[in-house]
Amino acid sequence: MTTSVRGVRIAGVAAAVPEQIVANEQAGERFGAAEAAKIIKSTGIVRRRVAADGQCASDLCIPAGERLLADLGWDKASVDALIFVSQTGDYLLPATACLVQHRLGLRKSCAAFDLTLGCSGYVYGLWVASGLVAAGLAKRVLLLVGEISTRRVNAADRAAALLFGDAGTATAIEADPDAPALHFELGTDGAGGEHLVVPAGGCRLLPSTRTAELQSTEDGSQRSLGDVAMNGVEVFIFSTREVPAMIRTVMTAAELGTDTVDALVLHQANEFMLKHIAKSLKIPMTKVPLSLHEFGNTSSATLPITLVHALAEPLRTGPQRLVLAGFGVGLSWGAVAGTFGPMVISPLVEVPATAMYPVLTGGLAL
Amino acid sequence: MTTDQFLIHLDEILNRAEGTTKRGEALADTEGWDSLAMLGLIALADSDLDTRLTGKQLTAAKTTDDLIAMVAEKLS
Repeated sequence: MTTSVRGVRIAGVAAAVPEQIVANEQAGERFGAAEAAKIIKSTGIVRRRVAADGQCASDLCIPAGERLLADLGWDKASVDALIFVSQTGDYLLPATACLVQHRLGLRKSCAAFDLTLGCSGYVYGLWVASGLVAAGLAKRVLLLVGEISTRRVNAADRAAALLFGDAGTATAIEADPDAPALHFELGTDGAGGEHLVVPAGGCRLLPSTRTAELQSTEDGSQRSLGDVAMNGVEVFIFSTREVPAMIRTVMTAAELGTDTVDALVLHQANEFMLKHIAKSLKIPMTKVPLSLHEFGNTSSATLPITLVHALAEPLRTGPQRLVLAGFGVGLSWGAVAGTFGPMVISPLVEVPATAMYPVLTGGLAL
Repeated sequence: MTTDQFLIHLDEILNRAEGTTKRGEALADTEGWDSLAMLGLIALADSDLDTRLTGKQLTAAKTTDDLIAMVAEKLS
């Protein structure tokens, strides 16, 4: 589905990561040095940020949000809606956005809700936020997008253990009648839902001692039904076949060509995949900024963290013709194209391991 | 691309010295034949042989001859 939104400006972006850095080289102890080196070479993921036990995506998104609001000079009372995009919310209920409204000190008349999406989540979040603003339902929206993916990955799963990192981001969206149009292309194919799934933990398969048991897989890995299961081959096939077509469509809508686009910001899944997508589009890798070397695949947060890591100066100083594309779990995909900036890009926030909110226990002992 | 050239591409995908991969080689005994190698083959077939391989085809393949058969129409 292709849509265009007018009168909406992205005012700023901030990102926060845990202080703890894990080098993928260390995985040689578990998988063998040669195997770890091979995975690093193919994926491009050299190191990742990993949250402390008990730290949640909200614990990362909130410092990013605080920093962004301060850098923008936005009064917290001016935020009309808060959207929290994550697959690793604090609780099954309530919605994390409700807790974050309080922790950020936003006003009680602020709308707050969660969106549960992964790799495509940032684009979907921008689509919903800009749609609210364009419809006149909100003047300012704070979009928080973050994930603690490492919590759902078993360290003994060769296919996934070295890919994922943790991050939280904040993006400010506001009404601006002079803003150039944003063009969106969104899609879904739930037939591929099985290719990237955490089987247990929802209502379909409740968590139990059985779902926590480790099981061996064909490739010699181990994981439980409560861990993420990824069929990398099927995800790669989907990504390299659907994504180029989506990007061509959104670039046409935005009247952007391979020569006029300043940067193609792709979901940071793995470098080999991104090179293949760029090659299909005949866009040189010099126009494809990367953040995965430093942060790995942070799910829905990869697009904003790449803006902060690799495009901060161009976005602070002037307009950039960008395409942002997210794709993966769902299967779900989305791209947005248009002219972004100048905007506030806050410096990367590093969050200490001790920064986390206490557990709500419902009156029971932990 | 000839079959011999395809086998050389397989060497590269499997991180082997050129000329190592032979016809009829059992994939189960081939070091390096894993999901990352499958991604390499899918990309090669897409970009150089205009052939769209499927995950089922790749997981069902037993020997290098099965891999050659998947792209045989495009090999000279």
